[in-house]
Amino acid sequence: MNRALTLEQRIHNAEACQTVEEYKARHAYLHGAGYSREEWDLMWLDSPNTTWAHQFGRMVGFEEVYMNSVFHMDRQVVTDKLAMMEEYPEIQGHDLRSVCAGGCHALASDVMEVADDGLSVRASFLTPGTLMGPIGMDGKTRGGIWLWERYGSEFAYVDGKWQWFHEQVCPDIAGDYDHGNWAHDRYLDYLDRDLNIGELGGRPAQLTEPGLFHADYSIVQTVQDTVHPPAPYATLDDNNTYSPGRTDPTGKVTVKSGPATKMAAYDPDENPFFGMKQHKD
Amino acid sequence: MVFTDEERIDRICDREACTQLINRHSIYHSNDWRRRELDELWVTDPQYRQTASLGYNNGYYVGMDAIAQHYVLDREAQRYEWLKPYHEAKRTPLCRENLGLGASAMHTSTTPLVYIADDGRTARYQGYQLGYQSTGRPDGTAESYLEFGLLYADLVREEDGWKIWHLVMEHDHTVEVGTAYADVPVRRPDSEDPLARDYGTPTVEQTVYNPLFGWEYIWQDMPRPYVTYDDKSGYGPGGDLGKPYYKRERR
Repeated sequence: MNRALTLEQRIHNAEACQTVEEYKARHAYLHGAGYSREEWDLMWLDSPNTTWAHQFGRMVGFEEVYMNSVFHMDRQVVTDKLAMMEEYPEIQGHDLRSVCAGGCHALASDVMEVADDGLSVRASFLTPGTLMGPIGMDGKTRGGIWLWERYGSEFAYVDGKWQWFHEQVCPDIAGDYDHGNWAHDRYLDYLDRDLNIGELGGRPAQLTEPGLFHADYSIVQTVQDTVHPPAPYATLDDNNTYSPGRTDPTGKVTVKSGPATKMAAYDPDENPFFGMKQHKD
Repeated sequence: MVFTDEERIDRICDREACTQLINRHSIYHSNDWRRRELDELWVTDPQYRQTASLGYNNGYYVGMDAIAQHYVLDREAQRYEWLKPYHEAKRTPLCRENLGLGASAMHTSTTPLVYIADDGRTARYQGYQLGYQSTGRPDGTAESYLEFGLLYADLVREEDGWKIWHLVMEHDHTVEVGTAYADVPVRRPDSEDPLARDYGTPTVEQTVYNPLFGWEYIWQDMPRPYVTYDDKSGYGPGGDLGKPYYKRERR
């Protein structure tokens, strides 16, 4: 790590970390409210190497990320709200994207490193998130869900400003606030194959790099430290990134996409707990 | 706006100080150190004391006297009520030192979004509250809730540092222990939420937040970079927070 920084570099780095906190917080609120366009238009880098990954794989390129995160998200949110109106006509006339929203991937335990060259920031977070709603995802009753995830986030300094470059979302476990023994219930579901690793949440319609990018439900396996807290680093490269092969903001590809683990190729019998299958009553 | 290096350093430090200020509020609020909170964390300059406000879903308490009456004195009376059953069960004397017996709470403020005005005199804050509160009873039972909501604040720089000027604690959801949240009627009026008891009767009664419609106006309400404070976009009773589109300034 370069500690021989000028005053200007130290200021630049401190502002970088505060900007990352700002962007992550703005994302949390705008995502919670279904305001995707306002987020992706304003904070994200328009680059062929922009990536957004979840357990299902990695979206590559700003257009693909935008298509899934804005176009498809908007359609889903509006479709859900129109369905809600059938049951609750009082939401007519309100904002179709944000009405009845209220979930927040609350941010905690952030670790940040600014590259020695001052051109990127790597950051990891934990989130004790919520998916709350006066009307939940079933469109009929209240929603009260918690969702614990890890984030690996990277930002690039391009054209004199910080822009969001890479995001890796790693959901670990979720459940209802008013539910009983959620961890054990998930474990039982896993044994019975009512639930498989990699099935927390949906999948996008368009995905350049499909695969199992994070194994959720850590109750049945060892810790999945997919987005390790960043260490001091010189520059964003394939040894220092959450998005290998996609570290050049101008679009140069250093590692071609894949080979990612294909979902179809994932063998749940590799899990040692399957040998203990013995219930469900 | 272009700042000198010295100004940039000040603004970096200011942003951290503002986050720390609300974090202290969270801890004082959780501990029920309410008098201490008003004394240490809120504005002291007379011009700000008169216009200071504390907002809930149903309106604003305005001026430090009204805030203290509600936030400190009314709360103390409520805590005496909670202590009475212990006293009547001959468990403990009914005195100030025993207030809080069997009670526990945390009101965190996560996910801080903070902007310092270009003029450096005020700041705007938004946070997300994940919290709980539990009140014990002498028979060994307890009334326990998880609670969720949003915080908004205008902070102002006084001679001895940043202070809370306008604070709004929007209450969103109450999950009562032992009750499936899906079983709570969607159309239950906010006034029937078990934690609506914390709102009281504000000085200025108006709908600041309607949990039925959730975060509908968050894009309009969230803090963003700004030049200087103005009432309309602030988080006091003169602001637009939570107002329907048709009651805001038309563009």
